[in-house]
Amino acid sequence: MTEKTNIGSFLLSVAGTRSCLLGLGMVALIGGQASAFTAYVSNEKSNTISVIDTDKFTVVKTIKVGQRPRGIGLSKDEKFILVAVGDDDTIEMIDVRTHEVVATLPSGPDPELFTQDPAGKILYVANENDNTVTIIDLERRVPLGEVQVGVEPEGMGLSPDGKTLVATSETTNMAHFIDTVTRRIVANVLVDARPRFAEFKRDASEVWVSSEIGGTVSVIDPVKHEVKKKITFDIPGLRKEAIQAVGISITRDGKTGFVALGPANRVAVINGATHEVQKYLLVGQRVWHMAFTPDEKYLLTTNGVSNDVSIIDVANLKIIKTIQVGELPWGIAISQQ
Amino acid sequence: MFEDTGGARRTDSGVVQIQRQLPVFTQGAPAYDVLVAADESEVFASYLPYRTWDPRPVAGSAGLVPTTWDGSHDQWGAVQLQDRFMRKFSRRMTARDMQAWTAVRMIGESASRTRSADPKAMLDFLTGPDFALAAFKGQRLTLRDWNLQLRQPILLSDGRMIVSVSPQEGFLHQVSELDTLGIDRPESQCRLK
Repeated sequence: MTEKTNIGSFLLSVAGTRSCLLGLGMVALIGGQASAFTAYVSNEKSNTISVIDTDKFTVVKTIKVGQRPRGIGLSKDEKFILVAVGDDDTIEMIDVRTHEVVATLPSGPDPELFTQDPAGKILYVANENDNTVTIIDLERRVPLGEVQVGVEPEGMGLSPDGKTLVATSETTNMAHFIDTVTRRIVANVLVDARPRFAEFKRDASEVWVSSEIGGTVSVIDPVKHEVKKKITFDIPGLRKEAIQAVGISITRDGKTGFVALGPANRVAVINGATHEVQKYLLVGQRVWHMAFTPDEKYLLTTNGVSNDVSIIDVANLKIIKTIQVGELPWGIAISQQ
Repeated sequence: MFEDTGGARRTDSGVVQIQRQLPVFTQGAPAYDVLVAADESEVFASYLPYRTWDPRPVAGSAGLVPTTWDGSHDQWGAVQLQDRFMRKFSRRMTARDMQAWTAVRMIGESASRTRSADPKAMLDFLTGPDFALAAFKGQRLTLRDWNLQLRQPILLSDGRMIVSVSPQEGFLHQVSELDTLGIDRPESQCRLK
């Protein structure tokens, strides 16, 4: 009896897989030309990067990197993957074709998140353990200077014109607005507890800062340096303490924002104009950071506790697939190729 | 009743005696799964692990100890605080250190949030609904409004590592899962004045 039931459910699951595959095939067809991008996911515990083909949504390769990889990005020419390996006190440059580590950058101790200027020549790095932002010349691979900020800097958001850097410090609870020319702090904006990420809208009208322990997103006017709106989250059946805002992704047109809610295992979908929460999407456990495919059809999320990546269909606001990656996936970057 | 006669551990045969006495002392205990020692002043509890008649884990004041802080706690950014403490004081941070840090941090938090140094404004904020503290414990710390006790996760340490952090998954509560720890409002006769 038990055996029969098992066989039955096995057949069901096979059928389920097949229809799922068919579904994916149709998505590719509707999209016309297959748009294969490559996603790179840093696995904090495995010390690896999982390389995902966004056409097939499968892991095609795993790259060994240094210890505790977290912040990840691509050089603007997309020749290199940059990954902050905090416990090795450096940022590794990985050749996208050979997947070999070819150089390291003088990031200063314990680099966590970083961002680049629009020209791809300068890298700004948060040194979590040293209360510092390190500025690096990406071409010459030498440090250009440092800016002292609050305690435990993490989030690094650069304005679209590259003139203003917003660094969030987790323990000072501030978003520090730094003039990238003078390298001085021009304003400190108090936000809720443990700010982790800063993201500008493309038109530079707003910068969104997430607070992990506070469980909110502060929408800051980058000219007045004032919090103009605080986005809060309320999920029925979930205790308040479990709702912790971390990663933020905003569409190019500024109309929709996505906020990863950590141990709430959900991504909040936010109307970019009214800042109202429209929907909560259930993803994997402890969702941390996110990245759009370049066509903004999909948003990929890293789920640290369940060791997987969820694929969100941006138009339909649905999770279409989950991909197993390494242990404690943390950051994600997606290339055009 | 165990009587601490003092000094036994310092004499040349002290360890030998304790190793003989404790199994005898625990021999007659009714059947049990875990031995929980309540000995906050640390008179006898440290003698219990590895010396019970039945090989059983010890928890409470020795063995697996519930604590507000431990030098081995590294999660949720705690490693950064531990590093800063070690750099400044050349020793590991204890629970008492963390309590002092938390107390000062609460005052700092209320000063920065209220943008005021007025004690009444600060106290109103601390005891109000908007107060929340980040203290490297994975979730916000708040005050229980009925007795002003700090709601916080409790680390379970074996002295070398954090074994777990309570509340354990599955313990539910209508106000806050942190209120599953300790004595809760309905069980208490105390009223804040």
